Amino acid sequence: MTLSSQLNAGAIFQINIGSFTNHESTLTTSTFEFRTYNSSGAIVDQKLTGITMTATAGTFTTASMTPADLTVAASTTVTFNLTLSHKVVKGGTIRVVMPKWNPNAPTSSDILPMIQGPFVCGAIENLNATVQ
Amino acid sequence: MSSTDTLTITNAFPGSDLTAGLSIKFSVSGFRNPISTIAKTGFTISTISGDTGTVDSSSTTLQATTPATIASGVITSTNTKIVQTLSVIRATFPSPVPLDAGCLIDVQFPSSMPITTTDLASVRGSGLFGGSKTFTTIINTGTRTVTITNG
Repeated sequence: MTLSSQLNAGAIFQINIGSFTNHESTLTTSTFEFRTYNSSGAIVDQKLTGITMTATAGTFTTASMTPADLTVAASTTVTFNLTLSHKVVKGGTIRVVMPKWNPNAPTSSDILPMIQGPFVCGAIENLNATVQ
Repeated sequence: MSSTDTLTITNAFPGSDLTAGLSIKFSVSGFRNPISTIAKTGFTISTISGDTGTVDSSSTTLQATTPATIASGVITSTNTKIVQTLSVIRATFPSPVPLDAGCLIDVQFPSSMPITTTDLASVRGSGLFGGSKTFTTIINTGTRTVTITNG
């Protein structure tokens, strides 16, 4: 970008870059680098650290969990069905955060997880699963 | 103790990138269905990029729609079994699921032995609302039902 007029020291300028694609995930980017040059091409000022961006996660187009057995408290297999809003690069991970099964139990040692091992993850569509 | 647990499926797409709009489907065994027919909230599903940042994330629910079955139940008269005589009856049953505070119990009487608002003197019990105590009851003669609460 070439300035059409002089800017004094301390001046703040703003650049709007259209069609900028945000980072592919919520991980904060490494730093952007800003440099200004004089008309001879020599660097005048530069900022090479601490200029980062952090994007916000998207939401799935659809996301559902359906138990095979619909009975209250039954031990069952749950099918997850997701439609991606955004691309995930190969090697990615799926994470499911779950509430406790009975969080109101009066004794904390009686509070149980929603899932109990051994459990098996079965890939049905577009997935190759190894569960941890 | 954490209030949540996390299930992680690593290297879920080893072959190639998954494009936007694609559906993915998988099953996980070993789940416990919720302890009531109310949809259980608090599940968050996310896709995580190889750089460990989140890509998509949504909250969802898990719902069981069929009540669990009380496997057994016994009603006995504890003082007299003489016909047409007011008696004390004892109902004993195991609860198949944990019951949260605020729960209530419905006991429906058979049509051959309907409950009346004048006959029921009191209801005492133990094991459901803490120690042995007298419960609050609501009688519906139309449905022959006694609703028992802790209130």
